[in-house]
Amino acid sequence: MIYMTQCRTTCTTDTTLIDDIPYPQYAHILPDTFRRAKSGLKYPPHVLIESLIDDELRSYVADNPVKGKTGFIFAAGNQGWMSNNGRYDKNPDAQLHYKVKVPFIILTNIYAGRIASMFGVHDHISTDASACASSLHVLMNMQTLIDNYGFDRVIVFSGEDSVNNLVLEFFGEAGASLQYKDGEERQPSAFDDKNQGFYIGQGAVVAIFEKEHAGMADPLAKFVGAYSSAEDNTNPLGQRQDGSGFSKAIEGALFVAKAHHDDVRLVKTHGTGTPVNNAAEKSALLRSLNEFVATSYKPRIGHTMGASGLLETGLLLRDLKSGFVPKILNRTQDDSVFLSSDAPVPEGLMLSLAAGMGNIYSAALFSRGV
Amino acid sequence: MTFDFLEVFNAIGAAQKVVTNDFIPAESLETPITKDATNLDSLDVTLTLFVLGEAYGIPEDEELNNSWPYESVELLRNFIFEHKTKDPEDEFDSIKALVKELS
Repeated sequence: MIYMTQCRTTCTTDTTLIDDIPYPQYAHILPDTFRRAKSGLKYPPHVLIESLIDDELRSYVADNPVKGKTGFIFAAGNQGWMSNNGRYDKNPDAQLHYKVKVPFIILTNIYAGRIASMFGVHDHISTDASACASSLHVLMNMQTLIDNYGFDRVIVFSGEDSVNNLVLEFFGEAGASLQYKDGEERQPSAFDDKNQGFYIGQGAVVAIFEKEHAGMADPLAKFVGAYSSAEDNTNPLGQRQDGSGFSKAIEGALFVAKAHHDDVRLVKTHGTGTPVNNAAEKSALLRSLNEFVATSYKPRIGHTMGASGLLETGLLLRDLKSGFVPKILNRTQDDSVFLSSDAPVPEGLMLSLAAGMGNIYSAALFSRGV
Repeated sequence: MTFDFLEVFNAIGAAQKVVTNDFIPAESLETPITKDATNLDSLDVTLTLFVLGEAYGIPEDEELNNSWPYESVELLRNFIFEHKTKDPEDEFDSIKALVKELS
C-alpha cells in the first residue's frame, strides 16, 4: 500500500493584470515572489517552492526515518527555467522582467539536488520535464520506486516558472490564455460553451508518498495507481478530439490499480477550458467512465503548468473534507457531471488527469478510504 | 552603527546552507573560505559572494566579477571595502534584517 501522508500547496485565487506585454492578460501571481527579482537576487519560482518548506515538514522526514530508501522527485515541468531570451532584454522595466545572475541554479536538476539535500535524501534524485503533466507523470515513477526498488518514502516536489513574459506571450499568442480584451465577454471556465480558456498562475506543491510504516502520519489518501500515455497524433502541441491520450492514460491507471471503470466516481480534470481540451477530455471521460462528477481548479487558481496536476489533487482532497465537490467556476450551462454547482462527495475512487505539450497524458487514482 | 564584516559574512554564509547548522562560522578574518573551514561548497560560496555584492553595492563589471578573492574572509573584506558603493547599515537596521531581505 502507498499512502499520501503530506501535501502542501501554494497558489492564489487573486489575479493581477499584466498589461505591459504584447498580449495583456490577468495572471494569478503572488507578488512577494517577484521581490528582488529585477536585480537577479531572487528567482520567483525558487521563492515560491521554498515557501512550502518549513521546520515541521523537515522534522516529519527527519524524525520519522524509514527502514527502506527515500527518493526525491522534482516535477519541474521543464529542464531549464528563466531562459535569457530577447523578450526580457527588450524591456527591462517590464512588470515581470527579471535577471538571472547565477545561471547554473536555474537548471532544474541542480536545484533539485539542492532541495533534496535539505531533506537529507541521498538514495535517489530525479527531475521530470513532462510539461503540464509533470507532477502527475512522476507518480508512475514514484510507484515504481516503492513497489520494485525498496523505497519506503518518495518526496515529490513540483513548481515551475509558470508566470513570466515568455509563457504569457506564448499562450497569449496561441489564444489559450484569456486576453485582457476578453475580460467582459469571456471568463475562465472549463467544459463550457461560452467561457473558454484560462489565466496563467503561479503554484507549487510538495507531497510525501510512503509505504505503510509505524511512524507514518495519518494518510490524506491512498494512492492506488498511475499511468502516463501518448496518443497517435502528429501534432505535439495538440490533443486529439476523441481524447485517445486521456483514455489510454485512464485505462493504464485502472489496470495497474486493478480497478474497474465503475469504481471511479470523481474526477479532477486537467480542465484548461480551451476548446481543444474541452472536447478531448470530455470525450475520453464520457467514453471511459459511467457515473461520475468532474471538476476543474484552473478557473479558480489559473494554470500552474507542471505543478497543476498534483497541486489541484491536493486542493480537491482538502475540499472533500468539507463534504462537497467544488463546482467549475463560470459555467454558463447547468451541468450535473462537469459541475456547474457544488455536489456531494460520491463514494468511490478519485481520478486525477493532466496533459502536457509533447503528447503526454497522465492519470492517477486515489482512494480517500484509508 | 557599523556592521561587523565577520558577522555579516557568517550570517550570509549560514543562510546559504540548506541546513543552517551545517555552516561552520568563520572564527576570525584569517579564516580561509574553504569547505574544510566553513563547510561552504562552491555553490554556497557563489551565492554568499552574490549576496555580499548586493549588500555592499559592488558594481557589475566583468573584470571585477572575475577578481573576487575567497582565500580568506580578510581578503574578501578588503576587496569589498575597496569597491563598495554603499554600506548595508544605511539600508538595514540589523544584520538579521539584511539576511532576511537578501538571502
